[in-house]
Amino acid sequence: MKVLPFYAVCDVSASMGVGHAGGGAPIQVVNSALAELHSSISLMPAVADKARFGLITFGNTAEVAQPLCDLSMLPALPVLSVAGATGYGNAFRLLKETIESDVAMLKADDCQVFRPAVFFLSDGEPTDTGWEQSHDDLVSPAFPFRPNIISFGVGQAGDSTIARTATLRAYVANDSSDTTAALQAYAEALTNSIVMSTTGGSEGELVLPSTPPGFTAIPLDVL
Amino acid sequence: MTPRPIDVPLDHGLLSRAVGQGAGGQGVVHFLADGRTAFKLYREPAKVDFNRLRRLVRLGQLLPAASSVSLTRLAAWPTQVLVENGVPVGVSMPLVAERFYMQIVDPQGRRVRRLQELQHLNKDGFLSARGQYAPTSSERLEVVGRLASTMSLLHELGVVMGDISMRNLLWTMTPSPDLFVIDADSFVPQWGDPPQDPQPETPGWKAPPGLKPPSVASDRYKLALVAHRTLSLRNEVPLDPGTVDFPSDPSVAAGVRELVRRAQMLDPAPPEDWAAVCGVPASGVRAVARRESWVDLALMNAQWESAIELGSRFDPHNPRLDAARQHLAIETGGVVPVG
Repeated sequence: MKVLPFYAVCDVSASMGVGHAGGGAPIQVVNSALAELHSSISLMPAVADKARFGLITFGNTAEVAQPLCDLSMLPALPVLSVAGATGYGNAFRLLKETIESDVAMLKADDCQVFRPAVFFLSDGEPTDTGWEQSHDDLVSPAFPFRPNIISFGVGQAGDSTIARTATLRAYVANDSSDTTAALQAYAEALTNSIVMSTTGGSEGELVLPSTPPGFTAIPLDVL
Repeated sequence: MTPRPIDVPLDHGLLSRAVGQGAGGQGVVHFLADGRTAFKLYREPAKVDFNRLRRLVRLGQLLPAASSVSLTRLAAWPTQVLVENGVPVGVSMPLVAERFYMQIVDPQGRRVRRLQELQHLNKDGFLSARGQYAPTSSERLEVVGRLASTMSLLHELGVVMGDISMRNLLWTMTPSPDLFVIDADSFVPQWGDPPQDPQPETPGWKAPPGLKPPSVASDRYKLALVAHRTLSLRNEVPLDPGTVDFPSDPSVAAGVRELVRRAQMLDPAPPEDWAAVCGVPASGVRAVARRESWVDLALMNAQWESAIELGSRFDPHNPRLDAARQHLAIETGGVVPVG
């Protein structure tokens, strides 16, 4: 079996718990949007067969909220709650460890594993220092399972920071005051990418939708 | 028979009263209020070969009059080309019958309506875990047989299916096992010009390059994939006769293994062989035996292009073909097509 792992890496810092006028707190929107993703993919077993989904959250610490799974066999995704600061470094370190063990596990199950795709989401600037090194380790050519990273910034996340986290594409929400539509668009982009990558294009090719509504594509850092 | 026009203006009144829509890879399908028709409007019409589609439309229009076969009962066959401001933008097609839908509960507890795709049949435990009826191995075998029967008919007609996968084959057990093919607008007639648009293939459902997809051979290979995966309850499994099992009937198991082995060796068996193993008559072949009569039908109805296309393929010595070419030349300003 050939498998393309997808990871949603979501910011759950305190600011994700602050509601906006006319909308719930961003964390509630994320929970609801990820539940919709799960509903969609779970009823497409052929997609779920070829794509695996994992969910990592980061705030004060980073956690594997949902280990890599077949969404058609999962009863429900965990409900996320907010937790303090915005620690990018922990997220990238945990992501690297998780990818290493997941790929090893899939290979042990006789799966052919395509390069993982990461949909990174943050609503603010990192509060930790030295996170860049964790990120560099994750995307280094020395790491054979380095993922493709598509990054989304909402709220107070800055263009250059989001661009620095991405390897493939980076998007920043047009309206920093109302994140609801942008967070829904993030989840829809992830859903569409999972479906399109497993049912269209070339085998193992990561297919990305065009710029999600409410976002602007920003150029990646050129080193 | 009064022929329907091939190209018709896109009726925005009908479109505005559509009762629903579904998005696909190539375009958006609008379900019309008549409960029988859908309009598929392409996102990038300029990339679609509408002459290929017109050949399918002509064939679908003439066939019912010449035989007992209706292609729209077997597939979402394009029935007309939709034109806007003189430019083709889509096709009309039959709506999928209700018996090919299921009501299913999603993880949030909502009851949702979904097309009953082969992917749902081929995932072990998927249907039963959601309170749906899980067809027996004999019923799944009959679904495979229905695909073999449809493919047999299409190949007899000179039409290659091309992209065959777990998402464009619908199944039902109501009232008995049956199959319906969607995305029939990607089918490729084997007469006339080669297709001018890219022919999609679903990852995991690609035929080896040596079979030159889309071709009769690649269709046969994919039929073996469908059979193997439907009988082994796995959407993603490479062809391997060693993994074929059919405990209720060892002779069927042996037959399936042999046909899977042939596909694995890149000598895929014709659909008639599959139909025989599945116990389903490949009735389509005999139903279209009077194909020469389509040419005469087309001529009688002044469908010169249809007569030339079909006649060149199926009845090349019909003396009336020259007359059809001359008629068409007069209508088109003196250019005589050669078929």
